[in-house]
Amino acid sequence: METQEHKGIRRFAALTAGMALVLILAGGFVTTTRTGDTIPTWPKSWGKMEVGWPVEWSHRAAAGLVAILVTVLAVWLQVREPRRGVRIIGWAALGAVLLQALIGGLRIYTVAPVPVAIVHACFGQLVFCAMVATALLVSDAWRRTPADESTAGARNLGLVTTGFAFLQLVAGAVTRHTGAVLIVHLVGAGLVLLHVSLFASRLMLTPLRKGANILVALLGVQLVLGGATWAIKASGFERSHQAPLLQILTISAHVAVGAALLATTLAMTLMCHRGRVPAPRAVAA
Amino acid sequence: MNPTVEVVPAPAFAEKATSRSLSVRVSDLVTLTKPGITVMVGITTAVGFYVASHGAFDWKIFLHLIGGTLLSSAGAAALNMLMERKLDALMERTKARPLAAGRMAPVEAAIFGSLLCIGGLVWLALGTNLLTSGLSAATIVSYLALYTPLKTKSSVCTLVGAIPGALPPVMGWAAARGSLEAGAWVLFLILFFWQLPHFLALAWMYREDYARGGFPMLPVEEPTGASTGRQVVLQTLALLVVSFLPYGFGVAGEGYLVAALVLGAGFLGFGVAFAALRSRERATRLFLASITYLPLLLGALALL
Repeated sequence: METQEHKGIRRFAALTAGMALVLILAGGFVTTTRTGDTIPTWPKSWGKMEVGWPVEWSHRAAAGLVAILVTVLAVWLQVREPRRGVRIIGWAALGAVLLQALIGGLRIYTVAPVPVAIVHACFGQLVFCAMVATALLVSDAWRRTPADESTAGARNLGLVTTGFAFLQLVAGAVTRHTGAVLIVHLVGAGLVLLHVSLFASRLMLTPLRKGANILVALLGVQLVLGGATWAIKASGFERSHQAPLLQILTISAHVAVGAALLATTLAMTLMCHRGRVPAPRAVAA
Repeated sequence: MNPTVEVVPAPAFAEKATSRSLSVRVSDLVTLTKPGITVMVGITTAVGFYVASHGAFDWKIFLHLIGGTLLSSAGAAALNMLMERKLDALMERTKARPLAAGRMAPVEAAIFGSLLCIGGLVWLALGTNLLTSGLSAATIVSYLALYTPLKTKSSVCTLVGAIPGALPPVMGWAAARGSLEAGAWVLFLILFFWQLPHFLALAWMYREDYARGGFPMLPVEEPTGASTGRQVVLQTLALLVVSFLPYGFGVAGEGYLVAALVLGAGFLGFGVAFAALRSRERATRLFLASITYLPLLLGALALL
């Protein structure tokens, strides 16, 4: 039976992962409005603040909040979580958040900001994945969904799909920051579209059908947002805080939904491999 | 139209048609449309349209084309599942499908599939042209009236099933041009030859299941898999050659030629590896390679 404390950890981990998604959305705003340089110092936000700084400030505030949440979660897991692997993932998530913050800071001072910004965008996806994995491992779904060999056939496809989804986000980050490799991003969209569809199809008739429904829904939304982003860029969109709000929202949402799609694919893949990892024990009271 | 996504392992649960939750209802309806096949049909149709457009891309017609094609493809998939429900119930990987498991009434699937097919054909006729709608009708008829009944009769069904599977890019071409030139048939050939190793990999992976369901696929008729291996190598080789045709017909540039060579050689490598050692692991790799190869090749065709 689930204790109050486990319920607390479960909810807190979900909140942390949710905030990380908000952070990615905020990062998308920064890139789309090109306001990353409006606060010229780091880590403290002082000095001359240029027009558009509230966007960058919001991103930093969200990052600070996520860092605090992940720290609390890592300590909480260390004290109460009996599974060593989960405790390690919790600390790894904290380490990743701190490293991501450093990369973000490096973005301000480096002489080659664009490559660093691309690394920052890509590593952010991995950080988010670590948090989603942590939340999944302590979730009800992980504990209660019966182990079922019907998902075994989707394991390899899940791994390949997760890999393609991540590479697609890398290609998207390069396209967003440089305007280059759009071709790779478009081909990647085809690959992700097909593989996620296949993966979801396989999961539809297993106990993971809810996850499959979510995957299909996210895929549909991402397709629409991707098409809209393409149309916006084709109409001569210039990244600026003075751009139309709806266009900024659309492009930034494309980034965030892409992250959600990757994380959901990863979560479903982990669920497919669940029979191979040690079964969770009862959380210590 | 071979079963690209029909690789669903059996579940350890079953629900009654009368007590389906919303989540189950939604996923059952989505399952009925075979999303993997339907998405692949949409992608190949889009590539055919894009290549035939030659820079004069008409977004309005494109959206009508994709909408109508997805509907008709989803409808055909639903009707196929309706026709095969009894055989599906015999196979592990398909026995949990909505109709085979008894969660959905056949009449419900019949109405759902028919409405989607008719809606798709009408949409294509009104939004694109009669040629495209006619090709879509030919796809549906050849899929349901030729391929589906033949599946229980002969392993030749694989070749027949590749015909409706190869028609979508031709539909895309027809929607863009209103007529069918050589480029359309080049795309047809690429899709035709791609499906054969793709399907044989799948048939090998699930050969015991196919035998249980009474489907005389090549890996069922010859359990050692020697013929299957030879067929896979020959077909991937044929695909490699056919994939050069867009360059020969001036449909694609030199960048595409290089991509086709590299991708085709890689796919052939997976085919040879499978032929050398016919294990489930290598069949799975060949299957994953096939579903990676095609979007990459079509992407190169559209963009290089």
